[in-house]
Amino acid sequence: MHFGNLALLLGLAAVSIPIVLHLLQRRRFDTLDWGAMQFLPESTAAQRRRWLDEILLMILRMAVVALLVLGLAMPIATSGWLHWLMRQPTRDVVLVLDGSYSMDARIPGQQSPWQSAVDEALARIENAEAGERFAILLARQPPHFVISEFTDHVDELRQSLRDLPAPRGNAAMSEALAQAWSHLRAKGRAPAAEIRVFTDRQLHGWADDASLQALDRLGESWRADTEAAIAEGCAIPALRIMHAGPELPSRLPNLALTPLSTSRAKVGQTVTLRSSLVSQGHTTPRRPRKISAWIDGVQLEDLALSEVANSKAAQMPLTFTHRFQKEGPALVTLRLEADAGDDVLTTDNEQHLVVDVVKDLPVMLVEGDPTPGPESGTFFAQQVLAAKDPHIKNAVVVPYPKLSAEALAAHRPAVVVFSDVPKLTPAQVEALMRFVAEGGGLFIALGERAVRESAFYRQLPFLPATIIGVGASKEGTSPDPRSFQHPALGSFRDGSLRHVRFPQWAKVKPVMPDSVVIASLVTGEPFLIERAYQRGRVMLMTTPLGRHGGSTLPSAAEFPVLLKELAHTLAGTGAESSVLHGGAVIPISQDQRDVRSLMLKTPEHDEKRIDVAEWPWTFANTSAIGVYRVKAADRAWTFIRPPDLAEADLTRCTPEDWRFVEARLPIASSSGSEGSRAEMWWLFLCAVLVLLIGEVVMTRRMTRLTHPVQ
Amino acid sequence: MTTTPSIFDPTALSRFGRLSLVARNVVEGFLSGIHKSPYKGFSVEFAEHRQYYPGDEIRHIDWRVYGKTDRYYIKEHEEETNLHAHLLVDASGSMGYRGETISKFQYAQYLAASLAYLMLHQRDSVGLVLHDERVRSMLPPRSTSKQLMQILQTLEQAKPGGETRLAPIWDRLAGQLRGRGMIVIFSDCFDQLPHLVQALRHLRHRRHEILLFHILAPEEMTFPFGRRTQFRHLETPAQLKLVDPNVVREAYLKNFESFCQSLRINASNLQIDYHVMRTDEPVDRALGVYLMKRLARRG
Repeated sequence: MHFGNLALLLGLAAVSIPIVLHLLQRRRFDTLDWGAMQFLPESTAAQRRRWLDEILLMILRMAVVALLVLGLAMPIATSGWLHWLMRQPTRDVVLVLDGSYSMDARIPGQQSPWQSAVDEALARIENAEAGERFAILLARQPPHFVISEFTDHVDELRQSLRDLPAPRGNAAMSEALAQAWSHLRAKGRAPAAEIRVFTDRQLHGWADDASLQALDRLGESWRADTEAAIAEGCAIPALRIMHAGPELPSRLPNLALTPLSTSRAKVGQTVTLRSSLVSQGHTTPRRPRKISAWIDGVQLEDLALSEVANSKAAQMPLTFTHRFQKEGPALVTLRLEADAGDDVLTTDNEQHLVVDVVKDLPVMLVEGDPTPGPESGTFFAQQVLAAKDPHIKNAVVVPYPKLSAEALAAHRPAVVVFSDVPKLTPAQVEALMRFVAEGGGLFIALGERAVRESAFYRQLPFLPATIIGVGASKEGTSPDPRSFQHPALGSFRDGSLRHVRFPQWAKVKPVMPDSVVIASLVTGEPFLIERAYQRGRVMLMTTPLGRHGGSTLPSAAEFPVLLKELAHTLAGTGAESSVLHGGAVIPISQDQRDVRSLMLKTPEHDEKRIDVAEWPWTFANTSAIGVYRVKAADRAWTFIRPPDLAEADLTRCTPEDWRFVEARLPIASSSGSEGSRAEMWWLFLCAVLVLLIGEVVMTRRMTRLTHPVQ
Repeated sequence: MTTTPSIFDPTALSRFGRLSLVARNVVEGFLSGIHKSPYKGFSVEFAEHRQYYPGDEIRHIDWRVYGKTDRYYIKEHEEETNLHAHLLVDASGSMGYRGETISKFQYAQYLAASLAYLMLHQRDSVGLVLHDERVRSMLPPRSTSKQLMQILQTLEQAKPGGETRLAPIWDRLAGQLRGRGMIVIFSDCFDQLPHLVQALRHLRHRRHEILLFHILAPEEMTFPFGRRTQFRHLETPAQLKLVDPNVVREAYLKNFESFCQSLRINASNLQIDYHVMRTDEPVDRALGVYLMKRLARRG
């Protein structure tokens, strides 16, 4: 036991007061000259009994003073045996298990970090002290509670831990810690609290730059919350981070696939799908046994591994082609199989992609010239797009004043192309932003009019770069093929665009870190800059689309191919909304209102029936990496939670790395647990009341008077 | 409703100071109100006339009758029933106890003085014995007016002190007191009970009528003390007892009541009139007791 107000223990000196009073009382007496001495009893038995009563009363009063002082000194019990007195929870504990897929690293002959984490969590529950209650949180992206209501039912807790699925998530430790803290503030009742984390202390997720920044923010908000919690009388949790699993080598062998990418697929068109094989931690080059491709569950031919097998590079590109024959979403899966000794993680051995196969690709060209003519950018572009690509239909030209939400809704383009468009109205900007956010592609070609409205363009949140000036030269500038890194520009790396001349061009500054310069001019300035904006993509070209200013691009033979490739790239797969990032939930829209139930299959559960109580229906537990399928009677939706490939880097935090983490979080001792803590002042108060009643009873008994003789 | 302090209230009497005043006021107050009292049957008028013989006291000649008859006749009062009374006043140290009221000795003084006054008024002869463990003063019974003054003076000059040894004194007095008469004892009787009873029996054996006024203080009867008290013996100051009254009260009262009860029973057995007189009670009760006794003796 210890005391919250130690200074008050000095009051124990008051215990001497009853002793002093007793001694003073015994020295004080009346003296009376008396004649009837013969009737005063000689016996001392009553006197002795009275003396004992006085001593007992004195002791009782000392005990009252002592208990009162001890009670005021805020006694806090740290021993669990007092639980049977307290009948109150003594500590609420949130067990946080690192659910990132690196915890599933399987090294032959050793227990995985996940299994160690589960065993240690079980041990913590089995060794719980009386009055401790637990909740279980799985730290994935997003984190979610396996058991949210604090409970001391060991069987229930034990079974939940054993039933936990294998770790298949991306790292989200700072989110998990924040959620554990909020949960304790909201639902904790005990005077003590603990957050116990079981993790492999991987560098990624703890001590990488983004994670340290997140922990910084978490630590600051935690410190601010602590002051408020203390003022409210809430328990401040002790944070303990347990290293789960054995010490592993700093680098472990792993093979992984990077995310699949492709352009918009059209029915009957052969598309190229791309990925990469990543090899880490091998002392000598290792290659998988097999890499197979699947379309909607049907296996294609395995990818040829001969080139892969001969390469010593850490990352090898993988490509395969496919001709989609029917319209609609198609699930593309790439899967590798490797020997156990070459690949400790299997979660990153699959990549999925939903491709929305379309019959044609609608394009909207927005003309910025108020008097469009043969010199206008859209003039050539419309003819090129319609003529050279049978899949690009309805390449409509819209004067920029006519651009509106209604026009976008009517035409439903996959790509919108701006040709030197000046300032737009706020309603137009809003419609355009919604279009891009919902997955549309936007290609902006700058010209004189656009450059003059650089202030307007600077306000657009989706622009890949800000306009800072105009470049011009008598000889003009041209694209630099050496800077072409984007797959859409792959066929121009041979220098076929080198002859194109731009006497004038816009000088821009890319918006970092979201934008990527995918092509430069020979002057070194950006030519093509791309960025993602929510579900869509935006590409900026710093030269006009038409012949304005003397540009020779429209007359170049490569111009149609370039424009087509860029359009197809910007159109994307059409199914970007099917990718789940961060804390995204699966939404099924309101137009399914007649549907009463759905079939749901997740990466961790087989297909099961879900009754829908209200629309729109959402499913929030999307933290497991893999494919989610939702089926109604006549329709199906596919969603993908992709793996974070940084998780495949199994580098552990060094002691120095961990010091960075400890500097940001209030981490308590990582071994053992402090005793249960219960305030005892009320118990002392009850004892004081009981003793006071006893004192009154005893005093009355000692001072009772008899009736006089008549 | 307020009560007017009675003239017989011992505390009020103490304001009169001198015993002579006290005694006169008590007796005259008693006699003036006697028609209201239970003692109505008593009369101090003469019973009959008889012829004068030389030697009779001139003051007893009924001059009214002489006026009518030219003969000398003596008024004969109740003098045939006059008695010899001995007032035994205990002046031992224990009688000096006073609580909230006057001391027991002072109360005994008032009683004795008042009774002596009344007795002499009734033509009884009264004597006084003042004693502690020895006889301090002894006045043989007389009925003269001078006797009253001597009795009052002796009582006034006495101070309680000395030890209590009642039994030997009474025993000795039983042999010394001549003639059969009335012995009125004023004492707290704080002595060994068997010895007391033996002495009373001896007095009774001499065929004296005995009135025993057991004078007690209210505190001695109720023992109302609450604080720790050192009781110091009035007669032997070296004898001390430090007690908690709350602890000993029950035993004290039991002893005291037992003593009083035994004394009462023994007195009754010896046909002794036993009366407990509290020092906070009016003194006229004692006068009434005496008169009842005298009445019973007369008739």
